[in-house]
This record gives sequence, C-alpha cells and structure tokens, in this order.
Amino acid sequence: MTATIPDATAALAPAALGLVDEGVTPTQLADRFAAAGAPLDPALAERLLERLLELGLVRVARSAGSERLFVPTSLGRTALEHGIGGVPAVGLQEIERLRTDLLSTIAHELRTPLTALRTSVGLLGDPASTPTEEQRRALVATIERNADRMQRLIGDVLDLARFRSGSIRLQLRRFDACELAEAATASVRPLADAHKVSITLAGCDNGPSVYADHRRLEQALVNLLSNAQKFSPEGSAVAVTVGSRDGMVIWQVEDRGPGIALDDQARLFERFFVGRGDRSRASEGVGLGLPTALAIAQAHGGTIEVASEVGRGSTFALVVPADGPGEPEDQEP
Amino acid sequence: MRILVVDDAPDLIESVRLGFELQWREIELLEAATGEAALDRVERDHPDIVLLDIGLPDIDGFEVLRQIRAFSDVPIVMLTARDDAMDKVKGLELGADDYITKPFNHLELMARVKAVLRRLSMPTPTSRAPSFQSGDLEVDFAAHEARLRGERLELTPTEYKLLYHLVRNAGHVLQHETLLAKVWGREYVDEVDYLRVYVRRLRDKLGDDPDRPRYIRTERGLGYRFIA
Repeated sequence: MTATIPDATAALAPAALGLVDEGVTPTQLADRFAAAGAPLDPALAERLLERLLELGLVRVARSAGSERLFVPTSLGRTALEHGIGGVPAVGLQEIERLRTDLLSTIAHELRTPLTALRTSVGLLGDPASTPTEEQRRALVATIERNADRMQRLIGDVLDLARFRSGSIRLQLRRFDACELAEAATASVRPLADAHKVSITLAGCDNGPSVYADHRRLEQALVNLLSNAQKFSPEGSAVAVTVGSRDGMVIWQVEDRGPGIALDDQARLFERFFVGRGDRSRASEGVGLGLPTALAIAQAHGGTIEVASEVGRGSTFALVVPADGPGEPEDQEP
Repeated sequence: MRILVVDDAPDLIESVRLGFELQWREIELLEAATGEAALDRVERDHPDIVLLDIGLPDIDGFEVLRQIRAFSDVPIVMLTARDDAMDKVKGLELGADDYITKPFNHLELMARVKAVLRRLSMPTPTSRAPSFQSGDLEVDFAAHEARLRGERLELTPTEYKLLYHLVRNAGHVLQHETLLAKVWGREYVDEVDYLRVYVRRLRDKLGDDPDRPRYIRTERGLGYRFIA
C-alpha cells in the first residue's frame, strides 16, 4: 500500500500568507519563519510563495535584486481579514470558498446580460414574431449593449486576474499628470452630461509629471470618475484635483453623492461589491471598477485613499510614485 | 393581462416587454426596479402575474415574495441568476408558483408563464364519489375541502389538488412524474423539488410524520403512496 505524503506547501501556505505582510522575498519569508521559531529552507519558502501565487493570494510586485518580491493581492488581504493567515487546515478551505464565491459571482453577473441577449436574439429569429422596424432597432441595440457589457465584464475580470498574478507588464513613460486627468475626464464627460453632472478640473497651473503606465492609470482614473458621476445628484459637480506630495502624484476625485457608510467603506475594494447609494443608477456597474483601480495603483507601488461621510459625499485619491514603481528597469520600456 | 416584471436591469425588462408584446399582444407590462416599487405596484395595480428577480438592490427578492404573500395570492414566478436548488426550494416554500433561471429565452419564459396561468385557472378536480375517509381525515370532493378531526384544513388549490390525486389512488404508488404531470402539468415532470416542497407542506398540515407516516408514505426513488 502506498502512503500519501502530505503536501507541505498546502499545510504551510496559510501561515506563509500571515507572514507576507506588505511584501516579502523568498529569503525574507524563510527569515520570518525562522524568527517565528520554525526555520525553513529558502527553496521551500519560494515554493510556498508560488503556491500563494497560484491561489491568487499574492502577486509578483517586482524583482528585488535576484529575487522576486511577492505582495498580497486584494483577495490575499481579504483572506487575512477573515483570519486565514496562520490557521492551516481551515484556512485553505476558506480560501477555496472565497474563490468559489468569486466564480459564482462572475457567472451570476453574466447571466442577466445573457438573458437580455438570448431573449432579443430569439425574438429576431422567431418566425412567429414580426417586430416593426423600430422594435427591430431596439432589439439590435439591446444585443449590442449587452454584448458590450459582457465583454467589459470579462475584460475586467481577466485584467484583475493578470494584475494578481503579476503577469501585466506596465508600459512606463513620463507624462504630464494633468494631461492624464484631461483624457480621463473627457471620456467620462458624455456619461456625466447625460446624468446632468458637471466635472471640474483644478491644480493644473503647474501640474506634476509622472513616470507610469498612461493607459492603465487612465483606466483607474476613469473608473473613479465613473463611480463619482454615477453617485452624484443631478446638478452637482465632480471636482478633480491634480497635485503632488512627498514624491507621490495624486489625482483626487471628489463628489457630492450620498457618501459611504463606514461598514461599506471596508468592503469597497472587494470585487462585485456595489454600494447602497442611488442604486437606480448604480445598476450600471458590476463592482469591478474600484478593485481594478486599486490593483493598477498597487502595481505602480501606489494606492487609493478614500474619505467619505454619509450625506456629504466621497473623495477618492489615486496616489502613485512620481518616479515610477521602484525599479523601472525591470519593466518593459 | 397585466404582467409586472421586477428586475433592476432595464435591458432585461425591455426585452421581456418586447417578447410579450410580439407574442401575446394583449398585454400591459408594468415594471419595477426595486423591491419597494414592486410591493407598491402589486398593491396598487393588481397585476395578473408577477415575474420577480431575487437579486434586487434594496430588498432581497425572497423578502419581497414573503411580503406580497402576506396580502396577495397573485401568481409569482421567481427569476434568478443563481442555479441553486436551495433557492428554488426556498422560493417555493415562501409561496412562489414557479421559478426560472437566467439566462432564459423568450420562448422558455412564455411557456412558464402560460403554464402557471393555466394551472391556476384549471378547475379543481371533482369525483363522482362524494368523499374519502381515512382515520381522522375526510376529503369532501364536492366541497373541494379536507377536514382533519372535523376541522377544515386551510389548503391552497395546489395542495388540495395533490391531496386529491393521492387519496383517489390510495394504496397505490404514484410516481413522481405522474403526480407532477397531474398537479403541475406535463412540462414539470422533472421538477421533483416542487413535489417535495408540497408534500412537506401537506404533511405539516396533516400532522403526518414522514418517518412514521399515517397518511403519506415516501416510496424512495419512486414516488408517494397514500396509505389505504
């Protein structure tokens, strides 16, 4: 009879996650295990980090010297908040549950646009239904909108997965932070106009420059602006301010929306979490905008700061290092 | 015919509206994007049938269902994006008449709605025999009611129909498909969950213990038998 050798990485992975903290290389992880009274071979430490990477709990932030630096992903942080780090057996089950929940949520989010699509296609192809020209146009428009919606959703999910696994290479170049704000503002303006919300831009008299991935940062800022205009009451303004502080460039987006309760603030960056403000318009979003924006900021070595008060509005700040994510030579030009 | 569609996805409501308009024509489609609005509309506009999504932004669809059932018997078809048997059972137990999983197409939806309306408008089955008696239970076929120890049982039309077919075949096993076809309609022969929920309800009302049944015995893997 053959005995099954337990997989050491499976048993130790949650403990390792607890020691990753803000970021760790395999050698540093081995040191941390040793400091905790459980010396570990650096090769095993690396395998442990690979395992966490497979589980989507960490991503590779950059190479530090000859070693890779692993930082927790939003899923990893959620797992830690659920008290998973350091509780081996229960931990992995819980991680698996979070992953399954995520998959069912994606399936769930795809089913509604797919229903609108199937119903519309069915009506167009059904010989028993004879739509007028106007009805045909409405059905085709519904098909287009919902196919777009599904494509966006799938793109966002893939983007997030790529950020998590560290497989997105940032395309770094130096550019004007105000130019980015203008581009993002311009792409959100039609939506804001439709909702009778204005967008103002300030801080651009002597705007800072930044070494970053223009397309990705624009995507992050567009996500923040889309949320801001969505939750803003008619006739109000969303204020965008560009500035810098301690070597960081900051794009601040301030709205006069309903604000976010403290309980909800803690969940804002969870995938598919949609706040409880004006839900009639919130239904346009599926809740991937903020986690994606955060993943982009983190890939740059930055973050997103939130300040909000119920009844007064919210301010989201996209903050990234002005000189790039630390070791620009590791990134593709 | 007034149909209330409750869903927070405007495109879904719009495609359902076009579906009904093109296929049924004589309909008035009412819409609600939230649970609150749905409750208002049911109370104010008295729809003939409600299509109710579970994932609503303000109140859970199950809670909306429970609240509607507190004041209305309007037929309700639950719409859900979750393919989960627990959800189906929960909806039926709270009083939903049917259940359809997204993504569906217009033909599936029409078929479901038609089946529910047909079932609810079907005459209650009658028999030449005036009544059936077994122990403390009496089923009065002429009055379409059942009494336990002389007390009238509060049965829904579906529960009565199920009891009727069981007692008319007392002593014989009625297979799942047979019961589903007789009570719900031929489209429902695979919906064994529906049967389980309703048998459980009947047993509760009859005070029947499934482990030591006096009236309804489960024939595992086959169906149910009313003990003669």
